[in-house]
Amino acid sequence: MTRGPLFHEQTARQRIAALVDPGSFGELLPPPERITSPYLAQLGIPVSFDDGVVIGRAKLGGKKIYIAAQVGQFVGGAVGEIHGAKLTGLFKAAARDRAPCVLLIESGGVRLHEGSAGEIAIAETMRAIFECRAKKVATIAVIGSDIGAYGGMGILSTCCDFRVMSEHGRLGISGPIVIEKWMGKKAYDSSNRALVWKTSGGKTKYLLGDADALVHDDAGAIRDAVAKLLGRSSAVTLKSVKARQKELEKRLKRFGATTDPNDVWKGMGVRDVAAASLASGPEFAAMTRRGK
Amino acid sequence: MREKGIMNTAKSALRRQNKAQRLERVGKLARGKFVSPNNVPQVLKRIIESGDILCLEGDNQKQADFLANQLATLNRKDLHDIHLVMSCITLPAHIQLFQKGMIRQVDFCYAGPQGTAVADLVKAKKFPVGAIHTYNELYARYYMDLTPRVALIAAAQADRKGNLFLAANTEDTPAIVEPTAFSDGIVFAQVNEIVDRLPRIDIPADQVDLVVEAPYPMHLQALFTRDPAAITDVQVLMAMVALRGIYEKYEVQSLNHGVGFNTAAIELLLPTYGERLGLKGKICKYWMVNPLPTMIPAIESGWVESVFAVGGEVGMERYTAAHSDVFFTGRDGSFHSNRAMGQLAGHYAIDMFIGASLQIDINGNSSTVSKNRITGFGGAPNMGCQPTGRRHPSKAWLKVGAEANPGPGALPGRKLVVQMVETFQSGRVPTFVERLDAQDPSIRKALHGVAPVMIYGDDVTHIVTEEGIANLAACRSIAERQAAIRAVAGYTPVGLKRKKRETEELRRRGIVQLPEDVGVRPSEASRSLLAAQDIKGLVRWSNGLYDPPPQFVDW
Repeated sequence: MTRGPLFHEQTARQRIAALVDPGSFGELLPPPERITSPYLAQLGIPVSFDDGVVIGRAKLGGKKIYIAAQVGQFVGGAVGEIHGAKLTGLFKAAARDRAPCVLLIESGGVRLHEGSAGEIAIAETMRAIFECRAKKVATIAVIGSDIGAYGGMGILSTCCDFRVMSEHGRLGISGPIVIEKWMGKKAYDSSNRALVWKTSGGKTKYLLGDADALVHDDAGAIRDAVAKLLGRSSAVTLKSVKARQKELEKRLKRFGATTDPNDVWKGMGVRDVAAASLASGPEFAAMTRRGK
Repeated sequence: MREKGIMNTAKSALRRQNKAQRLERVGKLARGKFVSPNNVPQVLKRIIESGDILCLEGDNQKQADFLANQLATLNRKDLHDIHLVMSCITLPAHIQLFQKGMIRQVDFCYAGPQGTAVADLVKAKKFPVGAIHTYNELYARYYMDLTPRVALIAAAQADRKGNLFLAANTEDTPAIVEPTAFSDGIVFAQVNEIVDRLPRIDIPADQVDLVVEAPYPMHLQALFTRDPAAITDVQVLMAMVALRGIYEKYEVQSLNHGVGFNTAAIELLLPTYGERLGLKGKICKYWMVNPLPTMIPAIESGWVESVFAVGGEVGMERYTAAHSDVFFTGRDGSFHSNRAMGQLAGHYAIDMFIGASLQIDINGNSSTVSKNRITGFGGAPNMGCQPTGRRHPSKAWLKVGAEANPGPGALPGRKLVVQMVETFQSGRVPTFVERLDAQDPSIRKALHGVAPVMIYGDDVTHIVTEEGIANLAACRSIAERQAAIRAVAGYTPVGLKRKKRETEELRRRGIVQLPEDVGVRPSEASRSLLAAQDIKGLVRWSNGLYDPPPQFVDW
């Protein structure tokens, strides 16, 4: 019954080490270079020598990749100017070298202490992602951490070609507490963990087609899923954006008035909601006929 | 034959007459035994008299909360000088009785959730406490000098005759009802529902005077659910050290576990690490614990022979019913508990008690009390003590006894009383202190000179921390005991005072053992050794029979 460490419990550097070919990771702008946030320092808030994100080159199955992992323990993995610039540079390098780029997300979005700089940095990273996709360089977001991918990072993840999720991962724009604050506890109780995961967790996102793979909470399983997607990429075109818009309109029409996330599952063809809830990610993927 | 006409000054049957008068006063406010919820405050006014010993059922988990809330609607002019006896002061309503000045004296065991409110009442001199007890100590006094005149209790169901079904959470009810009912006291039960036929009868109608179907189900706290996801690597390390250095060494057969994450880690290591050590069938067979969800993997792996419990646990109903070979169950198939009997078992019939504490002093005394929070004892001291009335031997009992080197006038054996703590609590508060907060003069004064010590250092046999094990039983002097405690107290101020030479000498004699001394490699200590990583893992181990409370469900 003994298992390896759970992906969501690992640190950013542990995740990268467990994911890529042993010894192949070379960190860019590593902590000894001390590239830290000037804003946090001005506010008297402790800084981090990597500004909350680890980036570098590595090999996966012998193939060259670029990879980044956000550090959730540092201001919730939030994106500031330096953090965002590191991500932008990484995707630009990926486009230049035509090497796939893997992003291990653990972030609630933009860092409030440096709001505008963070917003701009995320926009620039998105542009770099589209640059990759225009050159058919695969961009893959992995969402399987405690914090999930929310706010600007939630949006950014959907700009990538693919999203690999674990059941533990969550993907959304506004976080649960923010939704509760604006909509009221009656509409959305953020302390109801089952509700939170049923609306933004990996299973639901996989069911709706927002995630492309649903895997075990384990670096090995994530590596296998990522490896399969490295050679596949497609450009973002007006046509593809319009098609996606149509899909989302259809989804809104179908489920917009639904208040119970279980009804969404049923609507997507899940017969036994209780069994599906208890199933592991891969079991769930096997037992559900996924809608698109 | 007694001569007629001699004046008899002994008490005869005045209490019985008084009880009849009280019930007569209730009159039409009840139909037979049954009271409608709206009439409860009026009925309480008529059955309770000022100056009464009143028992309010407030257990560790189950609360007669409807009756308590109705009682709290009354005022000092309705009722005063009440001598309140109860296990657990848990609800805001309990505190209101003090604030309204209705209570002349209180005798209780535990005030966990209201610990801060109780400390405030003490400061305001509104908490006239007789004593803080252990559970069995208080129940024992119900039969001696604290026999209730009226007991307000909680049950799951009543039938039309007033028989009661207590379901999984029997807890204190029999220990309250018997002394009350057999001394012409009044037993008033709130029930979740009245039914035609009970699954089983736990309290016969004969011992029940009044029943109300409460408008809401009784408050029931999920007190023993520990999410494996919150167990840390350090706790896994301590669990491994305890397994090797104590469970394996003494071949512990029968035991009680506290409710903390440390012991939850041990439970979850049995099917993995324990199995690897070849300990299955050799240790941990007979348990006196509530149905802890974290025990599911060990039970499913065949480690556990039996579990007797002092209470139930929310969500474990279907699992326990399906495992009647392990858990005690009624004829109806559902789970049964009894706090008085469980505590008795924990006192006399276990090889080991292992629990945690907030503070331990240099003599090994422990306490959970601070100036701002008075929690009391509960049941830990009933189990975490040396029962000198014990006469039956067991392997573990004799082995610790031999280490303690008893004198010619002492018991040959000892119970393992183990304190398992991290050297620091959350917020970097040191666990080890030179002097307990419980020794504060203001607290001592409120408790008539008795400092609320949970487990006395003389009773403790071992302390386990992330640094290692201190075998206090094997220490030959107080100075040696203090050195052993400092040796495992890490970087706390108490620990920093240790002397290297003393520690090495104690280590050489096996009184202090580091992880490597018991064959544990700290680098191996990892959460990945746990048989279940989260609540969902427990549900899967239970084959879907465990229904965790909603706050623990994220799927």
